[in-house]
Amino acid sequence: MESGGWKGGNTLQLIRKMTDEYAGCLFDESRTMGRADYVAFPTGEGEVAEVVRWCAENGVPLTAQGGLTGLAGGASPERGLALNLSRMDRILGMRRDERGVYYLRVQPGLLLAQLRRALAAKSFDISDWDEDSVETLRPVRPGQLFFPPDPTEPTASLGGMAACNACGARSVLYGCTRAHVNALRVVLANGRVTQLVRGRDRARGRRAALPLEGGGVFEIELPPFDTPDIKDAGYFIRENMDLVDLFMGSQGTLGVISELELALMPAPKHLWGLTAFFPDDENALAYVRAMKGHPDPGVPFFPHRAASIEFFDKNALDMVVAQKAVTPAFRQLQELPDHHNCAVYVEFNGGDPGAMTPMLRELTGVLDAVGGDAARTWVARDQRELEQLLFFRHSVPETIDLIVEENRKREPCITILSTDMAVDDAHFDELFHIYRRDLAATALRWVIFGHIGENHVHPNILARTRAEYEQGHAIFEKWARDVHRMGGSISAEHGAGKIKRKLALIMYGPERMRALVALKRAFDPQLLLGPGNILTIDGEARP
Amino acid sequence: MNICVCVKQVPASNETRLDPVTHTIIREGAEGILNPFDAFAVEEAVRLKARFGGRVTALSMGIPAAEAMLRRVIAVGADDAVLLTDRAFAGSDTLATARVLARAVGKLGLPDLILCGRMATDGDTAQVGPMLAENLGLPHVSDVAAVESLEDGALTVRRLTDDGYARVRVRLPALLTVLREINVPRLPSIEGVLRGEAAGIAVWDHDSVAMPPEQAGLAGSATRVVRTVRPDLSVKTVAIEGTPAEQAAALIDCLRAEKLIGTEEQP
Repeated sequence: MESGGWKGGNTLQLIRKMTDEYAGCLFDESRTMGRADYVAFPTGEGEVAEVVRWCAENGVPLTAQGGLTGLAGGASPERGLALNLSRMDRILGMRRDERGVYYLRVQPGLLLAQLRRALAAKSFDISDWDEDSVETLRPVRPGQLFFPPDPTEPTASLGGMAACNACGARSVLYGCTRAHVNALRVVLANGRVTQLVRGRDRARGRRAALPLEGGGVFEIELPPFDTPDIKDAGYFIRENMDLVDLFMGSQGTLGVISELELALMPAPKHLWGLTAFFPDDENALAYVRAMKGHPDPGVPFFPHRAASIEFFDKNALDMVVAQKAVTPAFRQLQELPDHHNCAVYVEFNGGDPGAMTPMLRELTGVLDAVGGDAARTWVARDQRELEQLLFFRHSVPETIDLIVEENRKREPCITILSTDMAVDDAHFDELFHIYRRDLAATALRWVIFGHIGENHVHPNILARTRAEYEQGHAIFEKWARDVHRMGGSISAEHGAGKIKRKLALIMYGPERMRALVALKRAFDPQLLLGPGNILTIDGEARP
Repeated sequence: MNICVCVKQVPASNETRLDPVTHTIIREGAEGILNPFDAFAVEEAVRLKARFGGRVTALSMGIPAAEAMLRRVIAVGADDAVLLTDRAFAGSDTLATARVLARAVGKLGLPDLILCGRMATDGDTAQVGPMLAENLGLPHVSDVAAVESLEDGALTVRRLTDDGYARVRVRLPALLTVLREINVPRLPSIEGVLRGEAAGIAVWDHDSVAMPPEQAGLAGSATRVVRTVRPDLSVKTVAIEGTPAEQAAALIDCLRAEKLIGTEEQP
C-alpha cells in the first residue's frame, strides 16, 4: 500500500466514528478539550497515507497524536479526525555509520520510556528486522547507547517529541530533539511520502525540493526570514537548511511524521547530581550563572559542564510538600531542609566516578560564595540516588496536573497554564524578575520551576476560576511582548499548539505569520493538517 | 543515646551468581549496595541521635569492598563505622553472623540501642536482628513502625502485627528492627559525602573480636544450603481484541481458565 491506490473498503475499517470509547483521544496533558468526528489507529505508514488521502478527498481536517503528553494542546483535535499513532510503536532497525554512530529507525508512536527500556536492557523485538540491523545490534551491550532528550515525561512519543522539538532538562548539554533526529519519513497532505535525510536533503538558498516516494519532487519556496536563533519549539527556517528541520517543531501542520531515524550517543558512565537550597531567588540566580561558567565577581570559576540545571521556587516546593500529605505515591519524597526557599537541581553526566569528590569540593566553594550551604545540599551519587532527585523534579508537574484536574471540576474551561518562553543569557534575569513582579502583583496561585540552565523556566498559573484563567492568559500575552522585545522565543520546547497561538502571533508579527501561512498553504492547500496549531490564518472563523 | 546500627551490603540486582559448591551468593565482583531495609535503620538512628544526642556507630560484616558502603552510611550521619571482614567469616548463616556481630558489639561497648533493618533483600530471613539480641541477652522489638518516646530509660514504639499496630514499651538497652514506613531515608549532603570519604573505617578480623574461627563462617553455621533454584518468572502475554464488552468477556474466560476467579454465576 506504500504508493498504491486507496482501497475504500479497508479505509472504512481503518476510520471509525468518534464514540465515547475514544474520548481519551480528545485531549492532551494540557487538558485542552478537543472534538473530533472520526478516529483512526493506523499500524503502519501505508495506513497513515491511506487515512491522509481519505481526509484530502473528503475535506476532513486531521490532527496527528502520539503519547498525548503535550502541554500546549497540539495533539488535541480541533475537528475532523484524530490520527492516533499509538499503535505505531515499533523499532524497525538499526545501522551504524562510518564514524561509529548508531542510528535507530522507529515509528512515531514509540514512547520514550519504551525506547529507554529497549536500550538499557538491549531488549528489541527483532522479528521484522533485516539482517544488517540484527548484525549491527549484535555487539551492542545493554546500556551502551542512549537517546539524550529528556522532556521529563517518559510517556511522550518520539513523533510528538519531534513535532514540537521537545527539549527538557538535559538539553543544556545535549541540545533538543532536533539535534538527535537524523532522518524523517513524512506523509504529506496529498498522501505522498517524502524521506528526508540530514545533510543530504537541504534547501538551496530558500528553494526546497522534497523528493517523493515513487518519483518526482515537491518544490516550495521557504519564507524570507530566519526564525529566532534561540531555543525555539516553533517553525525552523534558514537559508540552505536541512529539510528534516522543516517538520521538527511544525506540530503536524506541514505533514505527518511516519518514521524517524534517531541518532544515538554512547551512554554516560556516571550520572550524578545535586539539589542545592537557597535562602533567596537571587542566590539561586548567582549559583546558576556560576554553573553556566559565568560566575559573578568573587565566585570561584567552576569549569565543569552540567547536563541539566533546574529551578524550583518556594511556591513549587511548598506545593509539593502540601501534596505529599494527601498523595500516597509522594510519601517517599525527601523531606526538605528547614526554612527552604528555593532550590536548584544540577545533573552531571560524566565518565569517571572518581571525578565526583574533587568536584564536590569545588562546588562547596561556589555554594559558600553565592549564599548556599554544602550541608544543606543533597547529593545523588549514582543512578539509584538520582532517581530520588528526578522523582522530586517530576513531582512538580505531576502535582500541577492534579491541581488543574481538581480546578477543572469546578470550571471546565481551565487548562494547564504553563509558559516556556526563552531568552538569551543577557536577558534572563530581567525576564525572571518580570515574571516574579507580575505574578506577585496578582492574587493568583502560581509556581515557577524548570529549565533555568537554558534560560527558560515555566511559570505556571493555577487558575481556580474563569476570571483567573483569563487573567493568566492576559499575563502570558504581556510576557510574550516582553520576550519579543528581548529577541526571545515564546515557546522553547512545548510548541505553541493551540493554547499559545496568540503568543505565536505576537512573536512572529502579522507579516511573518502571513509568510508562514503561505508555507502552510504550499504544503496543505486545503488547510487540513493540524488545524488550530501555531498559525493564525486571516479571515478564518475561530472558536 | 549511643546507637549501633547494623548494616549489610547486598547485590544491587537480582542477577546474582551462586557458588556451585556452597550454594551461597558470590559477592565478589558484583555491584554492592546498602541493603534497602537497612537505610531505614540508619535514618532512624540519625534521627534519634538528633532527638536524644549520643553517637551512631555503623557495624557491618562483609567483604572488604563493603567499606565503600560504610562511607555512604557515614555520609548520611553515622559518626563512625566498623567492618568485620575475614575469610573465616565467609559463608556464615544467620546464627554465625549474629554470633560475630555480638562479639563486635561487646568490643565496642554495649550501646543503649541497636537498630537493624527488617531483613536483607538477598537472604530474606529477618533472623539476624533477633538472634543478635538473644546473643547479647537484650530485649528486642521487631517490625517497628515508629519510635514514639523515651521516658525513664524505656522506649515506646509502635510495631506492626498481623492484626494491626501494637504499642510496646521496651527498657534500654534493646534492639529494634524497623520497617520501611518508619521514615524516608535522606540523601547525603555535600558535607556528608566529603566526611564519609575522609573517614577512617575500622577493619576487624576474627582475632580483633576474639572469635574462634570454628564458631564462624561455614564451620560455625548450624544450617547448610543444600540446593538453590532460580524461580521461573517468565510471563506470557496475550492480547485480547474486540469491543470493550468482548474484551471483558474474554478476560473473564481467561481468568476462570487459570482458576484465578471462581466459576459461579453471581446471584
